[in-house]
Amino acid sequence: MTAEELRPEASKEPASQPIADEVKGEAPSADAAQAPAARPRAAGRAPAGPPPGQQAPPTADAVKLEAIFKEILGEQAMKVEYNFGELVLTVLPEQILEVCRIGRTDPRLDFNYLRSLSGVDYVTHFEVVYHLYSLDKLHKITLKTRISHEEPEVDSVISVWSGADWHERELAEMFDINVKGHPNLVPLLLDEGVDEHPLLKSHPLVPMGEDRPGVITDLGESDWMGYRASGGKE
Amino acid sequence: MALDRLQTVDMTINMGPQHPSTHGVFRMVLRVDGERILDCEPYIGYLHRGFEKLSENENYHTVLIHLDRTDYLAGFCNEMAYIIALEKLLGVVPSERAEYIRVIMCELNRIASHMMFYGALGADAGALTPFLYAFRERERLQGLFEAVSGARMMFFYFRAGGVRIDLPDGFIRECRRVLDAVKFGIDECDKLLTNNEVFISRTKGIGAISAAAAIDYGCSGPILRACGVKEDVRRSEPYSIYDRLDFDIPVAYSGDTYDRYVVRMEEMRQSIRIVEQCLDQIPDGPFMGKVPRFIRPEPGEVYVRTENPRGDYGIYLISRGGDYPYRVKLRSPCFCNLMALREMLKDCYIADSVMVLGSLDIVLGEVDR
Amino acid sequence: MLGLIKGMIITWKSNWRKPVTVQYPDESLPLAPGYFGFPGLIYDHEVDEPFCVGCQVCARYCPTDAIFVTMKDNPKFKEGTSKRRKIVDSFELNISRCISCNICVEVCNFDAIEMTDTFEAAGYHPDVVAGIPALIEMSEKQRKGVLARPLKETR
Repeated sequence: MTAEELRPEASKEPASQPIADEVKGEAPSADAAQAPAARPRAAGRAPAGPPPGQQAPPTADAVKLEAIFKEILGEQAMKVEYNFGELVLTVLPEQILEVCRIGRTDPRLDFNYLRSLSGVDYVTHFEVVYHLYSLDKLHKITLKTRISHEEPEVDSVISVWSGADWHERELAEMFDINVKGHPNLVPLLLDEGVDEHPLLKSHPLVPMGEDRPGVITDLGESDWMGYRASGGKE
Repeated sequence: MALDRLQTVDMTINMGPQHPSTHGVFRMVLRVDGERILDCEPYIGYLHRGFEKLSENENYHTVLIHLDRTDYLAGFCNEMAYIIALEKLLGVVPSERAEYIRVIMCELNRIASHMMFYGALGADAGALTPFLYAFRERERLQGLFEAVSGARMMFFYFRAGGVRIDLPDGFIRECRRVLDAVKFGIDECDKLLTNNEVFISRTKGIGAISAAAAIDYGCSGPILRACGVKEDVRRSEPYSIYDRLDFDIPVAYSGDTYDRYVVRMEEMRQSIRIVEQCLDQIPDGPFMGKVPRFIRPEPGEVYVRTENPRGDYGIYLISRGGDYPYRVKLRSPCFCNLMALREMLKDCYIADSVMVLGSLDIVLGEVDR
Repeated sequence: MLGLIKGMIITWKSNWRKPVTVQYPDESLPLAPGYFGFPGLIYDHEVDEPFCVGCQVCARYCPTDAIFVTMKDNPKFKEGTSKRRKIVDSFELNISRCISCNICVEVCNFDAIEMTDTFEAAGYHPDVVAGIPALIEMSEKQRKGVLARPLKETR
């Protein structure tokens, strides 16, 4: 179980690499360069400095949490980042259920509140993101796991937080990810019988400014305030 | 004939999607034993407009118009969450005056939204008079919204770094006058329902949920505070200028419909306190900070949570450079509160299911996104 | 008995109160200070042409795709009377789609477009479209004060 499995698309760094280097090598800008952009127009400028998320120093809570997670998970592969001073932990998909359970039950962590569970389709892989919060200890963490497009499977955390129910149904429906262990994985938001997964980047959506279906381009005999629509050519 | 030989069957009945008491297009299938609800299966998605997918195709500026349309009773609060996320990604600091304007509008919006809740809950209980009283107060606030943003519902007022236009002349004086009237109006509303015997018997002990279950389901806002959990994003993770303001977090302990109502009534008074402090402190100055003309954040991601009238409203915004957000995820408070409906409705009567649903104060536009 | 008298006093008072209903098409309420109607094109009276050069940035940023703009070479530039090399050829605002969001005004590099108070735009076609003359007239009306209103004190 190595860190290479954590990011199938990224460079092959050994698992023992220092954290600081990993964060640097895994800055999102490098990601964007390697992954084909979803739309050609989405290509950005070259970033001037480090993005704002990386500038903030880690908070005291985040450092403490990192030490606790390091201690519990030990040698297992994980990636530690800081985003706006908050801890972002990327673990393997096989571990996610266990890590969540530890986070919920360990009295030092006590993550009893699932703030959000979201999926993200980075064209090369999926990322399932868990935003956790502790109502008693008031600390927070972002857990992430990466799964491939070929084998889109992730363990259900419904046994840890009941509130994951609809979030996971939405995840399965929007990204075509199989959530293993979910008792009732039927579509939630879309119409029944719709076999589409809209939040996949491969799902078509015409960019702004181009002809979209349903937009009337032929203006016909329309007339307003006594002027013809042809504008300026009367 | 002995009664124990009589066989009874659980019956399944359908409520919605076009039921007047479901506050939108929401459907639930109840399994009932006589009048008693054994199980409830909510069906949502009738108002799904694909906000998250649409946002991937809008530039950072125009995503905001969809946010007004998610929780259409609390447009300012939704915009607040997104704008804070965007400003964090951009590294932009809003001007001081804009921060105050935003908080004023958010808190006024909270009162207006809770007034809507108050009216609707009264109407659910069969009392139509409170509805009119609530709308009278709401109308005053809507007048303020219209004066400031030009719109009554789809405000589209906040911008990265500030707000669209400054407060109109005489706003502060006018706002104080409205607040005094609303304060009186809240007391009047309080008199109508809070101690009403029929209302109490319809709500006390109905649809109760324990604090542990509420946390487990991810409930937030007044639902969670009615269970005795003193959690408010404005206090636990202060955003904008809330750390400078003095207000209390109302908490009730039994977690039933009545407590949710009481918590909201008290929240309105606290909101008035907040607005009054803001009106005292609001500085002069520009209403826009320094912002780049075209908004293209650096690659990065941010998760921002704010306290909506309905609870913990989260925006997960990912940028990979360029004009368009890569992913916008909306963590809607109603969505999570509604999950707990099954837990709340157990062993209720069918007639009470309407009250419990009303006490959740759901906005389906936000649940389905 | 006292309650009855109190009730009658309220009834008596509201009998003589001025009605709040406004008969809309004949008279209308004053607009709110922050109110935005549809956008209009500002006219440059010195050169006798609109400020808009048809750069399409508003069309690109419009959240509802309500704007359609094309650009042409400015004949007045060749004559030397205008400094604008390019000028708007056609500017079509689909009134049915416009949500009065002010984005076109904010992104305009030439300050050529402004929000007006015009909001009555009912028509007989599903796509009510305003061309350049209509848009300029809207802006002119606004500037000449036909539609201008005093700042309104809210209730």
